[in-house]
Amino acid sequence: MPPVVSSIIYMFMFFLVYYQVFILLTFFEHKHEFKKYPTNRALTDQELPAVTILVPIFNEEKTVDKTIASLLSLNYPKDKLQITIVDDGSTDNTWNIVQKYKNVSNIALHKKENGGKFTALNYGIENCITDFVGCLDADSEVDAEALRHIVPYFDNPEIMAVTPSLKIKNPDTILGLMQNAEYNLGIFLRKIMGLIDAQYVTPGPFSIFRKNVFETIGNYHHAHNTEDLEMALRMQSKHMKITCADKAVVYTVGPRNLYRLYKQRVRWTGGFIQNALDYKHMILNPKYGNLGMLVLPITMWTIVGTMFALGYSVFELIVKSMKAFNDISVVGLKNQLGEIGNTFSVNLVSQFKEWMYYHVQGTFFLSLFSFSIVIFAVWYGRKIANVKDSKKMDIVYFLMLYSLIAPIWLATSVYNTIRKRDAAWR
Amino acid sequence: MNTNHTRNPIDWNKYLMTFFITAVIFGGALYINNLLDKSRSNDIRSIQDTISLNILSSETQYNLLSETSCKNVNDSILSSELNSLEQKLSYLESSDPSQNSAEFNYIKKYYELLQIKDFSLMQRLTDKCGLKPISILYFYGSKDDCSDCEKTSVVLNYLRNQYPNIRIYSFDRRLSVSAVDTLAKIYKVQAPYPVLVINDEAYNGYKSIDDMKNILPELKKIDKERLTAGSKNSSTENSTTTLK
Repeated sequence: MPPVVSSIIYMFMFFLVYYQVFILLTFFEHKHEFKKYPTNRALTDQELPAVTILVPIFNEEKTVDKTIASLLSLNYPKDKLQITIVDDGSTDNTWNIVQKYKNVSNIALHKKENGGKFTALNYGIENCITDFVGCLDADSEVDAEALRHIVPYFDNPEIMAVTPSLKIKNPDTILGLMQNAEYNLGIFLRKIMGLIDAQYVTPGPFSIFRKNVFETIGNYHHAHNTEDLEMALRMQSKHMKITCADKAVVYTVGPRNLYRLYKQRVRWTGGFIQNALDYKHMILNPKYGNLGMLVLPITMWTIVGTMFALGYSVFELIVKSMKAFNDISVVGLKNQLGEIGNTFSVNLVSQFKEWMYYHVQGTFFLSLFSFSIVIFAVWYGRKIANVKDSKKMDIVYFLMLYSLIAPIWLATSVYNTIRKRDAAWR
Repeated sequence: MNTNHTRNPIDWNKYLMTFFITAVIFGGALYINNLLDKSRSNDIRSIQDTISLNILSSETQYNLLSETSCKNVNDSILSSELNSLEQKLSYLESSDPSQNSAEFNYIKKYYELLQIKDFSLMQRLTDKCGLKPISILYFYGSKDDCSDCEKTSVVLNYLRNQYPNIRIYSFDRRLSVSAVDTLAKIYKVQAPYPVLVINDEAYNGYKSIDDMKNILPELKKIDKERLTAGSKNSSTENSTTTLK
């Protein structure tokens, strides 16, 4: 590797390790706050506030029923829980399916012309009369205790929004298991981000807000199809506190195939980059605390670093392919295959015994440190959400697959950003 | 409701502490890296020692040759480690461009001397005992002024693997080893490179596998023998199958 390339990679790794050490220090600093109930005692039914949960739906015929059923199963007084379903002009059977709830006292059904998820949310917010309002995407289901875990955090008047711990529902495929580990990592990170006042997303599945957040800073925007990300950044830009209720578990259906996962992540990653650029005045600005000085700059830097590493890997691949092509043109394909077999059986076996052939660099040990932190975070994320989860192999799939496929959607997102193009929802 | 939202001030001490810990981790990784580099340097030194020993041993063999009966000599008597050394050197050369340091070039020079020793001993054996080894001297230059050198190396590697008895001696003309200069003069080797010396004759330019087989009919003979042996084996197998 040329010295310039290795210097850039070392620089990239320095910030990555710095970020991880900062996260680790925060963890040890606030360890006692993990899994801790935010108030001295559980709130009684009388003390619980009224909450409206908005369910924006668009062609969700397969999942919407379970989403609503899970909301009805919440351990929360029915008279204090208003469920508002807003159909954003579904063209399938979704609207007919939700009709079965039309006579349920705390459910309101609305249908409007299609305008995008953010318009459905705004429609619900404008019709909301409670002091607290949240959203639940129609591909998610809540744990029965989720709302009871979230509400006590609002005892602190500074807290303006509370996010839950998200888990993948029934991860049974390799892709599902990979996402399971990723979401467990997300649980850990979201808690840490909440502790350092640096959450940059209030996820669609069950983030709860004080209603006056919207009255103060306005409703949802289109925001490059990632309105939940923009809302969090807008709140942060006004110094509104967002925290994480780690014990409030929400299950979401992860994309079942690689293409859908790719589409989802292109939207998320592209949305992050474009929204972060829209709020670029926060980057490296100490006025915005750890979000401005650490989380946003390092996340953006990680994207740049990954793109650089990807670019260099592609360059290396092209050079090696050209050499292989050249070798084939010289000795012929059949002979070249024989050569590869020979190299493998004779050279590699003899090289295996000699230390000299293990060309290990400092980046290897730094990556080892980095991976150890990720493994710890995934394990602890699983632990703090207090969910019995026997999917121990998920971390293996995550480490093996994620680093291979994530750069692809990252590259597409960067490309979309350069072309000023928003990724489609589906 | 509280509309004057405030943010906790940044804890700069924590940032400093993080920097310190990160620096320690980085320092540790670079230290281990340094240790490994040292160990690699020791390996390079051990290659150097092996080459020195081989040169000495080959000189001794050279001296003993006049007293040795040809019965005890075969063409594998010399420098059995040449291939392994060549493998290590080319690995070092390809694994890290910074290996092209003065130390590495010094070892390469040593290695070229060893090759010349091996070659001259082989020539002497040829004269004394009538052995007929297939030897190729390969003179190459830098990538910039020798566009065909890479292709030629591929062909020679292929030949080396296909015909293990073939002895290929490669010389980097950029190193300017005086013994190599003398060898080049003897065989009238002149740029442009690559130049191959086969059976005392110098061939300029790229030679394909077929060209090499035309220059070295012995290779065709070996191919033929292998083909005959192969067909014999398969016919034996067939007859065994029929008997069954």
